[in-house]
Amino acid sequence: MLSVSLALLMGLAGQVSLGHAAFFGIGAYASSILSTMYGLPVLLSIPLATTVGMGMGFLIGYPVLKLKSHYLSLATLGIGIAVQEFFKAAQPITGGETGLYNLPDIKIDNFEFSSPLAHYYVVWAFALITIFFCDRLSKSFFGKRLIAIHSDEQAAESVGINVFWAKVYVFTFSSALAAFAGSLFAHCSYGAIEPGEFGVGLSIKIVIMVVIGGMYSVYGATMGAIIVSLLPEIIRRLGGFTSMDLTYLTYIQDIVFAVILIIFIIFTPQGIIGKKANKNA
Amino acid sequence: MLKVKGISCYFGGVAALINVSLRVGDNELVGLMGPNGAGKTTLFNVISNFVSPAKGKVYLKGEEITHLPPYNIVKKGLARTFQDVRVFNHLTVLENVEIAVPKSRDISFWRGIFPTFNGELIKRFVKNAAIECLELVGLSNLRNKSSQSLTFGQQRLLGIARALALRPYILLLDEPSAGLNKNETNALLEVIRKIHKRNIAILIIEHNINMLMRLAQRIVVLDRGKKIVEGTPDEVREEEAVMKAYFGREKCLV
Repeated sequence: MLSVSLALLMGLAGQVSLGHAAFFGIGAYASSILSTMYGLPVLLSIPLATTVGMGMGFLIGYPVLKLKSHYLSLATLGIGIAVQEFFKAAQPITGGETGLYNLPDIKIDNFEFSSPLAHYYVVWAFALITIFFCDRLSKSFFGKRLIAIHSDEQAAESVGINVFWAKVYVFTFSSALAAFAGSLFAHCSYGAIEPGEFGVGLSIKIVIMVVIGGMYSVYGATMGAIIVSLLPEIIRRLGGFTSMDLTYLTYIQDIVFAVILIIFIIFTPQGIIGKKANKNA
Repeated sequence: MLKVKGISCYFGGVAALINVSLRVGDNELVGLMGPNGAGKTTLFNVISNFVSPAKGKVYLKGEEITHLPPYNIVKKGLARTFQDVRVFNHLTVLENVEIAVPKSRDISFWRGIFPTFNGELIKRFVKNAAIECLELVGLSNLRNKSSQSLTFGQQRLLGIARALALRPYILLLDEPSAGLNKNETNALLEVIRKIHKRNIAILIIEHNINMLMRLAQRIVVLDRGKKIVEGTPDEVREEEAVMKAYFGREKCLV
């Protein structure tokens, strides 16, 4: 889901954000804080957290989107790090390095989604809804305008597109989605979150998901997300055969990711799905 | 229609345009000529406000547009094409034109997500409008192709169709015939005539002097950022200064 939210921003509009984990984290923390400290029901704290993420997305997106290409990436990278540091430093509200725990589950009446399987279904349900609507968006004229901006900003302006506002729109929406995903994550992940989970590592992982899956399609991003989440598992299994140390395995994981990313960027910059779409054309 | 008044423009210390003035009347077809580096494209960029002039003003239908952002100038009825074509990759031929149809902008962010009945109507309207523009340039049978698969000449025409979809009062064409072969150039000439017949004023940058002689009602010649000659094609042909600036320079290049 997170990957889909970035796919909108990066894939369609061509704006590379290296700080997307920040919004994911903002959503997770906002919802956790609202539900634990203020005792709000989760069903209310999640939408509120999404709104917070949206607001932050707008406040950050508005100034940052005046920057172009790699300057934008750097700025978002900085914001990603800053937000993570904030999570660590603001002990009284975020619990500092140890994070927050004892987070409530999603509850409807007296039915609690507390088992891992229930979490799994909830997340998938929302993910599918997100994918469906984002796919619609990407195929609408709004989405096509974003694709136009991606391929040539000046030409896009020359056909009457307000490039800057279109970018602010997607950035805000994409942040809201990331925050939504984050708040779901908070309530569906063993009831605890800590700042380490929302670092640059995650941001880059999301970018990898989008690159592997294909920038121009929402389904591609979904596939990328699945591949990227399965890969460590596969490597761990393979590593199990060779009975290697676990720390080594994490290194190998990173290397494999890096190699895959480079291969993809060189040979199929459009990703798996993008390639197929092109052949049909 | 379009009035350009005393435009000066500098890049670093270099003067790209010096006090250039120009008029295009309603439904007039004006040619803009001059050697490479004379400032023709810069003038286009100033008019569409991709480049801000140091001095001078631009008026469209009596209204000043000098400092309007480019996407608003478009809405006032001025469309342009680019010398290096600039079609939108990853969109089909039809989509390229569709997003230029003003009505397509009614599909805002939220309407893009949630389907409405009205949305379907807009979609159909936009599609028809786009197809009409493609028909005018003769590309409607290629509409579902990816825009990258078109030949260079076809991409040029697509660029023109895209500009037409904006329903402009005046169209700025930046060297539409550059890089085209003879057949393509003739087809282009026909397209330009057709557009002109629709009461759209045209300002066209063109190196091909013969083509301009057949097409334009008036010709303006720029050299080194200054307007040196203006007149009917015949008057310009007689002007010695043009010959020197234009052909003299070209011979030197060879």
